[in-house]
Amino acid sequence: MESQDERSPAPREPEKAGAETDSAAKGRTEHGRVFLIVVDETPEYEKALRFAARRARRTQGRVALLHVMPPLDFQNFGAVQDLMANERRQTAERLLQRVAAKAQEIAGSMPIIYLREGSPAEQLLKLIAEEPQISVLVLGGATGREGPGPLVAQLTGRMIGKLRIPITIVPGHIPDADIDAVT
Amino acid sequence: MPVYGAMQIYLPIAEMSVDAFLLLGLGATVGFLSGVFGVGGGFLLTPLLLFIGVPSPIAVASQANQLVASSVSGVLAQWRRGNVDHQIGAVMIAGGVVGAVAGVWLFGVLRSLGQIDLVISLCYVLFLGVIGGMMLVESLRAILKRRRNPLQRAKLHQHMWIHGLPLKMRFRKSKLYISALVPAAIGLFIGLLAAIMGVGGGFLMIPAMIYLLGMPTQTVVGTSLFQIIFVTATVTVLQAVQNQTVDGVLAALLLAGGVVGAQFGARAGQRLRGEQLRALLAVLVLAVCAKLLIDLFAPPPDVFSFDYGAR
Repeated sequence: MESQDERSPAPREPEKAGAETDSAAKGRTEHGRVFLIVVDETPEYEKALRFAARRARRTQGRVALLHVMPPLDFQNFGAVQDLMANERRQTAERLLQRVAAKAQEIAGSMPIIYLREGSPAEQLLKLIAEEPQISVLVLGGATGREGPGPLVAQLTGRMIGKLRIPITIVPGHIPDADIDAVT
Repeated sequence: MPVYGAMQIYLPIAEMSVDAFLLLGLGATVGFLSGVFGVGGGFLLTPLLLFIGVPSPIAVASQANQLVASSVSGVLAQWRRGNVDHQIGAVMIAGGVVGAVAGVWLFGVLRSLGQIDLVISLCYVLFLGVIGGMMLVESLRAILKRRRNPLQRAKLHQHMWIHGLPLKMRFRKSKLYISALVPAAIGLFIGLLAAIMGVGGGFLMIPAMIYLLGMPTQTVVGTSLFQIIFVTATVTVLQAVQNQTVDGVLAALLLAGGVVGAQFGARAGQRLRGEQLRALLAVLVLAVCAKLLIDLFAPPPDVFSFDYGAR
């Protein structure tokens, strides 16, 4: 809905003094880039967060956080299923609140928050397709024996053809100081 | 059994000939349903086997091992997401194995008394009736837009008699400090059910783990599947060794059909979520219950027959 409005050819007025803070408040960033990171339970996302938030601060951009909740299994009893949905939502909100506070601390601006449900890679692609303002995807790569993690593996593999924007991958073993040096 | 020149296969333990395609189809149907509803399907498969004439002790014992297969594939997905509480699971398995041993022994006793068919049917009528009825009421209420009773879990620090029990243990993953007797007792009851009814018991275990133990819902499904694997495996081995009621041919055919059916079911289920789905399952469960109930009271076609199968 919102993106529909943005695309409609509204008459553009010459920018006034307060226009920039105004559009930022609406979640639009005409001037800065939006760095999207995926928040999950892995430790790597913190490296991606640090990179994205510092880049956002440097370029007057913003950080966007996406968390994808796992789909709920069908339960015989509706009351049980409702409780599961509630608790899943609470857990997701708590996680996002914590990460958003950290993102704001580093980037100096409020992050944009997206909460979706389903398969992470699918939802990520859908979000990027829906939101033209997202300009860079930053992912943390696990450095264990099991590979870089499912998202990085999928998005650098077969799914790369579906991406509209560049990806930055931050390896999980890089110390914070080294990330700070290149941002 | 009507024969259409189909592939008749002899079930060595059940001591009967059945069309192999009928069993494959049955397995596929139940597999499909369990894929759609995400339940083990045990409580639908046993009655269906009874309807085609498989003796109830063999139906119950042979399909318990179906659950091992479906639970293993289910638990792997949960495991990867870190949703299995091994500590509580282990305590429940300990209780479950005791329950399974007691259940299989009870099964043998009832069988030698010639009462096992009646007990199995009565248990199914009771459980299917109560669960189907509850689900139907719940889903009809939701469909009619009346507010569902939220059924909140007990407050964190609310003291119930359960918290006064000895042998308290700390379960780190679920962030609980409770008596180990409670999960063990739940496991024990589920073990009994698995032995006598051949069901995994997730439909009872999951609410019990949430409302009695106070487990977070995130770990409930994975932990219950984890427990079901070990308990149903124990039941299968014990039934085979002690009561000789596990029919390998029957189980293999059902399993083959079940694997295929579950694939299609899972896909169909993603499109069909919600209250209508729950109402549908409730109606299905009640229909099976009604058929069992009618069979209990209807005079058998051959009034003067004896159960030679009971050894």
